[in-house]
Amino acid sequence: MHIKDLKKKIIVLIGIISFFTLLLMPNPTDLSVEGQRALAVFVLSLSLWVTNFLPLAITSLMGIALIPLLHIMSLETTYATFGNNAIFFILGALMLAASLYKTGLGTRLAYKLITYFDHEPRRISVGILLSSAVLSFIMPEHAVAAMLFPIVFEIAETLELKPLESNFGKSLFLSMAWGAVIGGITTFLGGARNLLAVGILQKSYGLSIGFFEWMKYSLPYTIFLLIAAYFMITRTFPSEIDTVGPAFDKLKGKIEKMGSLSTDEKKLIFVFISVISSWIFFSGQVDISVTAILGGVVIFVLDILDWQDIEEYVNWGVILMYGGAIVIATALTDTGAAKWIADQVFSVIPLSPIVFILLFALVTKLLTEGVSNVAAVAIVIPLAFSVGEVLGFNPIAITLLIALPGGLAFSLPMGAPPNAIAFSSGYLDLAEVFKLGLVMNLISIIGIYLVSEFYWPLVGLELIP
Amino acid sequence: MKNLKKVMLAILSVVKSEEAIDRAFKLAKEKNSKLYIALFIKKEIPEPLKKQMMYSGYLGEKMQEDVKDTIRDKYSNRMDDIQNEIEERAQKEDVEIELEIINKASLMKGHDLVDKNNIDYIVINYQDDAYISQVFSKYFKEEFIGDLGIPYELYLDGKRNEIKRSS
Repeated sequence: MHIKDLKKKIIVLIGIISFFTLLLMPNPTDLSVEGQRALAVFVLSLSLWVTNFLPLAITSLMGIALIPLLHIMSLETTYATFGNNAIFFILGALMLAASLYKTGLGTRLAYKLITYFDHEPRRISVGILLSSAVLSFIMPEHAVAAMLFPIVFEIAETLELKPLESNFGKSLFLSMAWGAVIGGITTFLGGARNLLAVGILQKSYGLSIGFFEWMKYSLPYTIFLLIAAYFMITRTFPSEIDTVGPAFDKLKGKIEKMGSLSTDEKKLIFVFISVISSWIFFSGQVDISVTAILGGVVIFVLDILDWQDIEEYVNWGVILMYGGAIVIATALTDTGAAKWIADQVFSVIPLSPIVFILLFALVTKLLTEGVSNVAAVAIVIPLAFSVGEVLGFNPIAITLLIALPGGLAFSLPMGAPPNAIAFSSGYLDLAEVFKLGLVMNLISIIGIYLVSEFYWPLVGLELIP
Repeated sequence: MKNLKKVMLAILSVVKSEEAIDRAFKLAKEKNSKLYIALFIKKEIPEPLKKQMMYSGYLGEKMQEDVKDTIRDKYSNRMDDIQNEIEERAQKEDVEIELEIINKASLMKGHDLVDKNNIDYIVINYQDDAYISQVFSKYFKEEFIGDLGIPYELYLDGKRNEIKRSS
């Protein structure tokens, strides 16, 4: 048996033992029976999420079954919590993303953005970094990486860049991965974990963050990170070639071969403009989840996609994963279990705002490098809410402080699918990227502190209201 | 080193293999021996990537297939390049080679290959990164290299990592 497999099994075994211990131990006076049981389900789910012992969606389903079974929440409340608007937004957003991929509009946009810059190698790196980031504003970051992967590979092959040796090759693939990871934190479309965090915020406090508001808070952080990533990548991997002419010409040729916009692409542009405008300007009147679903319906009405396409391009496991994570996190907050943990752990440690920001950003970042970022957010956010509540922090700011760093995995291939896809090219050296990723992680923690301390108050978001 | 009748060059990495190829040719010329080349091609993409796309990335089936196709194509192109390089070099340097492409279906233990082809020295080029390696570490360590019974040199992505001179 591999040591890695053994470690996983030990963690799961600890999770199972802790689950039964927590269920059977005497009830602490300041924690409800439901809270104690919610804690047991959380610990078991945590061990399974962290190890990926079961598919993440199945772990979430297990949580959904255990919560009513152990009378933590009623059957009706559990299922109603699962069917929240975050889940329906994700459903619609995935259908929109599928249409971008299927019609080729996403690829066309990528080609256009990359070739917007000229023949100089550094500029092509910027082009890939920016196109990866910008596309991750409107579709899931992993879908963007999957879409850009063949394009970046084509550039590397045309330029005869040697795997593991070529600095420019490293720069291209890392720009693709980091661009997607950074872009994915900017809107609800890039990383659905953002909406998962908002879903937990809604369930816990009845508060929400709109589509435009999220972008207002996240965009400066995204820009800060993209600039940092550009310098980190191009300084660490200075290009060994002077021109990317042949690759550039090939990409131009691809655009010409694609011809003018197809009817489906034109229809899709109309749908996207309508949906995003509604999210930005009318989210007060029409919930963003309703618009997302309507967008999905219109795609069918306009005959852009058929059901077969949806089955091929959407992995429905995501709905189970996110819904389950919201149910488990809600059980933890509603039963007072999260607050109880916070009291036990943090009552003796006085937390200043800066320590709070740095501590939770760091914990989320460490988790997200090793486990799915959805799991990282679902694990940390209930605890952060409880600690923040004791300290009088604004739950909206806490949501952002956890969800934004929670999507930023820079070092390891298992941290985020775009990284794994980039590593599979064979161009990146794990040790090199690991070190560079550590520095980028540090920069991102400093960045979230600067943004939350100096920028958010300017746009009306105070950590302590 | 005693005289060698047949040197085997086993290439299990598509990333980088120049030094291992150099070494195998040098040995074959020095010892006036034949060179048996085994190119391992595995049609499946690395398992960790497959799992991550399925369980963490939530890419739809078609998107996953697109990523897999890209990787398969590019890995296959690289293996073709390696094959061409070896064949051209053999012709140029007048080294007698025997080349076999071994795919997943016929993956075999190292010592089976050694016995079957009467090999008396092996140069292995391997890749240990789970996100790139086409042949799982577990298979390689337990099945391929486990009981070779002859001296070998192990290269990781073209860089010499280990030499086991005696059997």
